[in-house]
Amino acid sequence: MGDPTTPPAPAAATPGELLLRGGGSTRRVRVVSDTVVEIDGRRVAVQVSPAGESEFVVTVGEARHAVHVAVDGERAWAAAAGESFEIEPAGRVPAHAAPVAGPASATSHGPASQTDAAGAGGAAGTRLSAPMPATVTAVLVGPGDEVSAGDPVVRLEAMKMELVVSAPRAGRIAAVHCRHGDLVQPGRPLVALEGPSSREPAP
Amino acid sequence: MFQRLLIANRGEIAVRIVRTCETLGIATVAVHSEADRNARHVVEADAAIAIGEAPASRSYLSIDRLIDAARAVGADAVHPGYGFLSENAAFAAACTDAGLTFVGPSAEVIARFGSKIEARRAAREAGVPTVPGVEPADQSPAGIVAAVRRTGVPALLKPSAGGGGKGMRIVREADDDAAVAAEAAAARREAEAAFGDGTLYVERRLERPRHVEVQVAGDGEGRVVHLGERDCSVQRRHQKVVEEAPAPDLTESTRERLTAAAVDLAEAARYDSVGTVEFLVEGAGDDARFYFLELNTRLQVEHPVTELVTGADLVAVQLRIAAGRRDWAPARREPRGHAIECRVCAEDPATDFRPQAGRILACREPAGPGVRVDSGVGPGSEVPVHYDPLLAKLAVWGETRDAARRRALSALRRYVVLGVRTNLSLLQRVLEHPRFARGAVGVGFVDEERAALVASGADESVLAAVAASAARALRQGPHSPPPGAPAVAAGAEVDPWVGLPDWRL
Repeated sequence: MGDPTTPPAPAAATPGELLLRGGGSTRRVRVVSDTVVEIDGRRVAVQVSPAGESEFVVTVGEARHAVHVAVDGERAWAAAAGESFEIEPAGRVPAHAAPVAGPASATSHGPASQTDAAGAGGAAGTRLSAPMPATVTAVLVGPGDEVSAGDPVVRLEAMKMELVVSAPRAGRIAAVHCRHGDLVQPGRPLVALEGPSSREPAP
Repeated sequence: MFQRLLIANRGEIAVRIVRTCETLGIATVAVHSEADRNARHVVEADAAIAIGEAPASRSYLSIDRLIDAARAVGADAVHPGYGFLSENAAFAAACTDAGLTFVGPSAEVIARFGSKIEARRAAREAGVPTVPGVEPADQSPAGIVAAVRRTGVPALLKPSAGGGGKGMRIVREADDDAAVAAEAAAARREAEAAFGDGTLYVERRLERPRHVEVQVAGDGEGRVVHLGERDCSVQRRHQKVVEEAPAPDLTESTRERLTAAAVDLAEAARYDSVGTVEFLVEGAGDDARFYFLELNTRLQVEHPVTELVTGADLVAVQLRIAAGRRDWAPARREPRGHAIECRVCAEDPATDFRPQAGRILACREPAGPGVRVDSGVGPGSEVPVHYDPLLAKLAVWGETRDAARRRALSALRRYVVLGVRTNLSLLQRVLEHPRFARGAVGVGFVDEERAALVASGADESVLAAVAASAARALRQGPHSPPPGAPAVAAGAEVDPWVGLPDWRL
C-alpha cells in the first residue's frame, strides 16, 4: 500500500498498475514503461504525445486515439473513443472510502435499497453509509433498536429519487450518526450496527 | 413583446430560453440558488438574482421568492421552463396577480391537466381513448389494493399530480395485499415529496407499448395547430432518454388519427400555449391502437427534435402566444428529415442509473453539421445533489433516420465529460443497437437490453491508450502543462510525433 497522502515525486517511475473503471466493470492495466502497457498478460506498444493541456494523442498499432485526461488528486478521469474511465493506482485504498471497487452492493430495480457495509465487520460492528450525496428524509431506527436483515434503517432522497438504506444483517443499532434533513456525502456513516456476528456482513 | 423575462429555472433549459430571448430582443434575468451561484445559466443571462438556499423548496420551488425576484428586477414576464413550478397552477396565478405574464397556459388549464385524474376525464369527454384504469375515490391502502384488483396486473400506481416518472410504481402481483400497500405507500411518499400531493390512480400496464406524443400549440381562442409527433420510447426508470421525430414506423393513417385526437383535446380545453399530448401506442400498422396518457402544459425536454424537423422555435411560439400576438403560429409545421435527441445525464447506468453529483473537471461538446447541444454545464461546473441530473441534450438532424442516427453516434463519440459518471456510453450502445437501428422499439427496450446497453465499448487498444495517457497525466499532476508540449491551443491539429523527443522515463 502506498502512502495515500503524498503524491509521487515527478521523477518517480510509472505508477505501475492502474485500475480503469468504465461501463460498470474495472480493468487492471500495468504500465510497464512510457511505451509499453500490459493488459491480461499481453504487452501492447503505445506512442503517447501530448496535444494541448489535457489531451494526448496515442498510437496503438494501427489505431490512433485522442485521449482527454483530467487529474483529480491521485485519481484521474479519462475519455477516449466515446468511453469514459475513472482511473486510480491499483492497491491503494481511496482516502474518501467511496464505492470505487465495482458497482458496490447495489440492488437493481425496485426500491433502490443500497447497503454499503463498511468498517471492520464481525463483532466490531458494521457501519452503514450513504451510497451517494443525498438528503436524509427519515431515520427509521434509534440506538439500541434490534433490526433484522433487510429492515430499512434510513431513507434518503437524492435528485427526487428515494433510496432506502437497509440493514445487511440482523443486529442492534449501536449509534445513529445522522438526522432528518442532513445532507450526507458518499461514505459518510449513517448508523452503526453491532451485535450477532454469527452471520457474515453483506459482501 | 416583453421587455424583461425572468427565467424561473436553471440548467440547460434556462440557457435555452436565453438563446431565444437574444434573437427576440428580450432582456433575460436568471435566478439561482446558493448551489448555483456560478452555474452556466447565471453567466449566460443578462442579469441574475439570488433566490435562496440550495434545496429547491427554498429556491426554485419558492413561489414567493420568485415573485419577489421578478418584481425586484422589473420583469414583465416569467418563463417557468420545465420541471420545478412549470405545471404549478398556483405559481401561474401568483404571476398574474403580481401583474406578470406567465409564459404558459392559464392557471385553470394547468390545474385541470395537472390532475392526471381530471385529464383522463377531459380526454374521455373529447372522445380520446385513455389507458384502462381506475381513479379510486378511496385513497386508503385498501382502496388502492381494490383498484389494482379491478384494473388487473401488471398495473402502474401513478401520482395524480405526477409527471416525469416520479412516484410511479409497478405492481405485478395483485394477491399480495401487503406488498401492494407497501408500493402504494412508497409511491405516495415520493409523490408528496415531489409534488406535494400524494393522490394516486391505477393504470393497466400495457404490453410493449411505444410512447408517442404530439406537439400542439393554441391561443385560447380555439385556434390549435400541431407540429407533428415524437417517439420517446427509449426510457429508463420511466424517464425518457432518447427521443426522435417523426415517430418511426407509424402509418399515415395512424399518424393522422393520433394528431387529430391531440388537436381535438387541445381545442376542447381551449388550450392557450405550447403543450404536448402524450399517448401510448400498441400494435402496428393501420390497426395500431393509442391511448391518452397525459397533457403536459409546458415545454418538453425533448422539444428540440420538433424544432429541428420543422424549423420552428417553440420558445418563441410560447412567448408570442403569451404576449397575445396574432402571428404566433409557425409558418411551417410539416417535418423535414429526421431528428434524434439524447439526454446526457450525470448518472451511472451500471448501478441502476443512480444519479451522480460532483464537479465537472473537463467538458467538450461536439459540433458539426446538423448537431445541436443544449447544455447547462461547462468545465468547472458543479453538479449539485439537489436537482435533476440532466446535464445537456444532444439533438441531431439528418435527411433520413439512419443519417441522423449516425450523426448522433459520431457526436456522442466526441462528447467528453470528465469528473462525474455520465450515460454517454449507454447512449452510444442504444443508438448502435440493431433493434433501435430498425426503429420502433417499445418502452421496455432499455430494461430488456440492459446488459448489452451498459457494457463498455472500449477494446484493448482504447484501454492501452487510456492507461498510458493517465499514467503520464498522473505523474505530471493536475495543473502542470505537459513537458515538451508544443504551444498550441486545445483542440488544434497536432502532429502526434511532436513533443516525443523531450519525453523521458
